[in-house]
Order: sequence, then structure tokens, then C-alpha cells
Amino acid sequence: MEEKKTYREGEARLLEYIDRVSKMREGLHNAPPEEQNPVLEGLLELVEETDRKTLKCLNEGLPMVISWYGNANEIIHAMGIHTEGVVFDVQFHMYLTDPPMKDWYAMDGLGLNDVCSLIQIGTYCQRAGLLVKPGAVIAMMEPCDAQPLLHDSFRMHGWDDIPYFYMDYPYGSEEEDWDYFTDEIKRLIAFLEKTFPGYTLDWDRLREIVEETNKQYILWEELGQLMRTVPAPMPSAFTPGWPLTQHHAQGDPRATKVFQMMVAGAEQAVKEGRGAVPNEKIRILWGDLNPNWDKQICPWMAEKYGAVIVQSFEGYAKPYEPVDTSSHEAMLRGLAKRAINQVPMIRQARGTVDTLLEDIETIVRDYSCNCVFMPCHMGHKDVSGTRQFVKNLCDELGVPVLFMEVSLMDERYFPIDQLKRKISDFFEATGLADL
Amino acid sequence: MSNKKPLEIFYEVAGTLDNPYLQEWKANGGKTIGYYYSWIPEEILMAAGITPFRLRATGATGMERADKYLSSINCSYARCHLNQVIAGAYDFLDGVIGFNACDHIRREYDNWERLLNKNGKWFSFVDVPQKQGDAQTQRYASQLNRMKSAIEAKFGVEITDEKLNYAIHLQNEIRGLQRKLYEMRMGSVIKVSGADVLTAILAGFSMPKQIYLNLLKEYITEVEKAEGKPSGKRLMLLGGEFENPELLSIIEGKSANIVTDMIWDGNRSILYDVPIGSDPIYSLADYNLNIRPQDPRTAGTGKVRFEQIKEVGEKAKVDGYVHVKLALCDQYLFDQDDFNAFAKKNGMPTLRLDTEYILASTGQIKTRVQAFLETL
Repeated sequence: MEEKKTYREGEARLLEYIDRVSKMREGLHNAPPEEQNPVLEGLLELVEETDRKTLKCLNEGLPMVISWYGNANEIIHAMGIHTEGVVFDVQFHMYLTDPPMKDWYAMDGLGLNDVCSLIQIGTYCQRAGLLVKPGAVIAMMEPCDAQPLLHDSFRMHGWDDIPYFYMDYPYGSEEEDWDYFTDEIKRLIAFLEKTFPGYTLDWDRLREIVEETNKQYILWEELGQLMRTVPAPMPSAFTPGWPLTQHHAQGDPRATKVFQMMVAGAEQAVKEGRGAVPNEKIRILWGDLNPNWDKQICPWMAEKYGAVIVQSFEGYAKPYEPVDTSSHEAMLRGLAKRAINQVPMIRQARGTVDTLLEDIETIVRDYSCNCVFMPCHMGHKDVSGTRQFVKNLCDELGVPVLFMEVSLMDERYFPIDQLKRKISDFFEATGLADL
Repeated sequence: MSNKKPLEIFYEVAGTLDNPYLQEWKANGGKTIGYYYSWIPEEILMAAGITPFRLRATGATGMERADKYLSSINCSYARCHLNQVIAGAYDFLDGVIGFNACDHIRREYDNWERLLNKNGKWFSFVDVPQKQGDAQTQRYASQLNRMKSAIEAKFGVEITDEKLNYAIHLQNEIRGLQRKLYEMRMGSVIKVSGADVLTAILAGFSMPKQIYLNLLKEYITEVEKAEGKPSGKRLMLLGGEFENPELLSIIEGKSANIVTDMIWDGNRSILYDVPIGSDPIYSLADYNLNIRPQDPRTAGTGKVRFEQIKEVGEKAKVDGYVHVKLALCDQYLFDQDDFNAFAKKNGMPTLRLDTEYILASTGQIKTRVQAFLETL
């Protein structure tokens, strides 16, 4: 009789993820040349490896923490500690489960409907036992009110016997604010050293990681520069710059290679004067994270209106400054600035409305956008309080703006058909459809 | 004004924004600064000779004007408040101090300061840490010192330690008296309703302090003399800011009494006194961040907060807990959800209510409360 396997918390789901991604990657690898996609294959390799590392931590009792993109994860990795993401996998697999979005339907039972869908799904994953219980939680306290509370909720629902460290973000962007967050990173290091005895910060390893990620951010911005070309060399299918730099093990040269491949592809298209969208007419700034449901609107907009999203806040790499690796202090300070002032969402949401407006203005000008889409994601209550600022700015810039009210993660919040009608009405009312 | 009973005055002051006491204060050359609740210590303004006014949206009858600036996923408090700003209901203020309260309020503040500040009001902002700890207390104190300097520069005053300590003493005295209103609901005879206590406390955030202190003393003497009536079902009110005593009256109805609470216009602001130390600004930062009861904005405090609620509830011998939140408030939605888990585990009957700033569906609230009371 076959022995029934008893899974530990999070293990069954992790194995499912690994199995699926592994098959996808192998399928791509063995596909005929015209169907191969080395960029996607490279990304899948990193996704799979992150999950395999999580499994290894579970199996071998190695140190692992829950962490987020705004927590200067370079530090954690340079200490030899693995980071598990809360929401990357559940999003990556959302349309691959059987039935599609099964976790998202299940999360509705939580009754947290007013909260960002991403936070809801993260809450669900922990309560449903889909995450591997870590050795500690590094809570990110931006970019929205719900983000820190997600971690408090972990504590109230079974994970109260592990230590937590909350990263407190300053509101301002002055020298004293950088000082404060640099010190916060030092406190994080002390916390990790205490929580995982024997694991200390390897400064040489940190320098290696940072030097590698510096290369990646430069390549990412090169990609952005190429997207400024008219016609844009890449379609609205948003680039995976964010996951490559901040959601998987930082400093992996394989991620750099993926960037290099994307840059090479875009360069070639520019050289050939080939736009990704035939008859490109409308160039859009998408003022937020990339939506999970982009495949449902981008090809439609491209075909019907010659519209392409040339940049989003997620894909916008210009703000990233190379981190100075000349001293320990310089590295920590550079990582502090990156975490609080350069990563998406936290950059635009933390502090006053200024950064959001600065980004819209710069992108519209740099990328020759002729309209702005503000998704006003239901979790970004701050963005929804900026509509008059954005409207005034767009009036000054001479570009129309479309305000939506969607969930970037959960298409059920605003039916796609309605959204398409809204976009059509907007293009027609502003004359963009007649270009 | 002088012929009215203190409670009548409190209802008058709490039921509007600009009030006769502020008008008189202003007519005599006094300044009034509005602040977004709970994290801007009133004592610093008092030490500057300024009357602090805790911002409310009282009197709002709609949100239409604000909807140009905020959207339907912003909470009704922020929208009603901005509506009042646009309507000119806050023209009497000389300045406004904001802080990073929540995503709604942060942007509401930005809109007011940058797009709607038509009469050149002075604006200032305090960055308040979102977790406890020594480094955070230091930072908060440094932010408060910066605010203090900005007030000094703007209003040409000197805020000395002596003046600060005097203000702290005065506020502590007020807190002590307000706590008496809680003590008078501990027994089986109730002398004052939850709605009246809320009103009395709200008034204290809205008028010159010395006048308020005298009225409060008078009011407490009256309440002490009152016969009272036997307690109905004893409830503890939980949530954030409460600006509408009518909601409490609805909850109390004819058969229940709100005998204690954990809200900002209640126990959170008065349960403990500010310690007197050698550095009054640090004492205020320490008090706000580490000593007084916290709310969900201060990360990592959930379990401690809920234990504190349990302790306060047990002391007041409550039969049940009513957790009220505004729709679209992420902080209190999570708080409500987590508290519910805690309450279930600890056998604490709890009713969860969702409301909007402008009370509607009062019948529904009554029905839900009644059904809850029947289960107790």
C-alpha cells in the first residue's frame, strides 16, 4: 500500500510550484527554435531556483526569512540567509492553477475586501498554509497602510513564535532621513545576527552582490532608454526588471544575462526601425505597477488603436542610482536610498505627492507619451488622493489622463470588458483614436 | 454662554467646528492651530500659547466637493473633512499640522496644503515613526523639536521647558478628571452615558484648555451628584477616531451602556499621564509612542493591544465588545479581523460594525446591536 505523504506547512504548494515551473522551463528549452524564449527561460530558471532554495531550507533547517523588495535584501543574502517572498509565486501561478485563480477565489472568504488584493492574497497564503514558515519575518512597512498589518496578522494567525523585524521608513527625503534608514538597516543586521547565530554579514560578498545588481540596474535603464524610441521596440508586455532585481536572489549573474538578452533584442529592433506594435500611434504611461492581467488589454489596445504602454512605474529604472561600494557605510547608505526612494510603489507612495508627479512629468517627456493611464489601484489609497494633482500636471503637459479604479492583481474587481469600454471612450473622446 | 450647563456646552462645542469659545479666544488675539489627531502633542501648542484644535469633519453633509480631489476608494472621513475645508469651515484656523497618519489623510493633507490653502494658512508636517523602540522615540522627539522650532519661528514665541512642563501638568490634570468619567461607569449604577463622555472629551480637543478644565470640573461635580440608573448590558467600544456621539447613542439604545472604550477620543488619549522628565519633548514622544495604548498604526503591537483591551474590559466588567470602523480603512479592517481572532480565542463576544462618516442606515445598526445584545 502506498504510504500517504504528510506535508509540512507550505511544502505541498512549493512542490507544485517547482514542478510546474520546471516543466515550463524544460518545455521552452526543448521547443523548436522559433518558439524558444531565452528571456522567459532565464526568468523561469531563477524563479525555480528560489523555490528550490526555500525547499532546501525547509528540508535542512537552513536560515530563511520572509522578506520584501524594499528591505535591502542584498544584506540578507550577503549573510547567507535565504529570503522567501509572500506573494510572488501565488501571482506567478495565478492563471496556471486548476481552475485558474483558485487561490484568489478562496481568499474572498477572508472578508478583507477593502484591502489591496495583493495583501489579501498574502494573508490568505499564510492562513491557508501555502507558505513555508520562516525562521523570522522582516516586515516591510511601506508602501500602504495594509502592508505592515499583513505581518501583524501573521502573528495573530499561527506565526507568533518567530521573531519579527519591522523596517520603519522615514517620510522625508533629506540627509537625516537617509541616516535614519541606514541605521535601520544596521539594526536589521544586528537582528539577523542575533536570530541566526553564526550568520554574519560578509562585506566582500555584499560588495559582489551590489556590483552585480548595479550592472543590472544600468542595463534595465538602457532598456528604458530604448523604449523611448518611436516606435517602441518592445510591446506593452511589461519587462521583468523588477522580479529580476528584487524578487529573487540578488546579485545573480544569470539575471544580468537576462537583462543583456532583453537589451540586445530591443537594440536590434531599434536598429531595424521595427516597432513592436504595428502602426504605433498612442504611447501610454501606466502610472503604477504592471497589472497581472496585462495580456487581456495590451494586445487588444495594440491591435485596435496602435497603442503601446511605453513605461510604467514598475518598469521605470531611471531613479536607480548605482550603489557606491567604496566603503561599508557607503554601501549601506546606497542600499538605504534604493530601498526607500527607488523601488517602485515605495518611491511614489512614501512621502508627499511630489515624487509621483515628478515621475509622471519625466516619463511623459522622456518617452513622448501622448496620454497617461492612472489605474488608481484599489489598494493604493494614496494614489487615489492625487487625482487633481495629476490632472493639473497632465493639463500642463498637454496630455490627457484616464483615471481607472481597478485592482492591479485581481481582474474580478473591475470587469475587463468594462475597462476596455472605458479605454475606448477615452481614446475616442480625446481624439487619440483618430491619430 | 455662562447660563448653560457644562454638558450643553460640550454638546455645542463638539457639534460644530468653530465655536463661541474659540471665537472669543481669537477676538482677543489668540491663535488656533488644527492638528490631525492623536500624534501631535497638544502640549507643545499649549506651551506656545496657542489653542490646539483636533481636526474633525463635524457638520459635513456630503462629499461632493471633495470628490474632485479624492476618490471613492478614499475613506469617508478624509472626503468629508476635505469637503468641510473646501466649504470654508476651517477658515478660523491659523495653521495646520499634519502627520503620516494613513494613506487617506496624507493625501488629504497634501490637497489642503497645496491646492486648497486659499488664505495662506501655515502648514507643518511631523514624520511619526510607525514602530516602537529607542531609535524611533529619539527620531520622533527630534521631529517634535523641529515642529516646536517651526512654531516658534512662525508665531514669534519661545517654547521653554518650563512652559512645556506646565502644559503637561495641565493636560495630565484634564486626563485625570476625564478618567473619573470612566470610573463613574465601573459600578452597577451608571451616572453618565458613553455618548456624553465622548462629547465631553471631544469638547476638550476643541476649546481653550483652561476654560475647558473649569467646565469639566463643574460637570464632574454634577455627575457625581446624579442618581444614575442601573446598568444595562455593559459594552466596550473599540476603534479609532469617533466624532459622532449619535453613533454611541444608537449603540447604547435603551438597554446597553458603553462603559469603557479603546478609542482615540477616549481611553487611548487619557488612560495614562505624560511623565514629567528633564526633557519634556522627549517625554511627550516617549508617552505617545511607548506608554499610552497604541493603535494598529504602530506595527507589531497587536497582541499587546488586544491584551490591554481585555484587561480594560475585564476591569469594567463588560459583557461584550463593539468594534467599529469606517469603510475603506485598511488599518482598522485588519485590526478588526485580528481582534476577532483574539476575541474568539478568549471568549470575548464581539460585534463588528462598518460605518460611514455621515451616519446612514441607523436602523440597520440598531438591529445588529439589538441582535448582538440578545446573544449576551
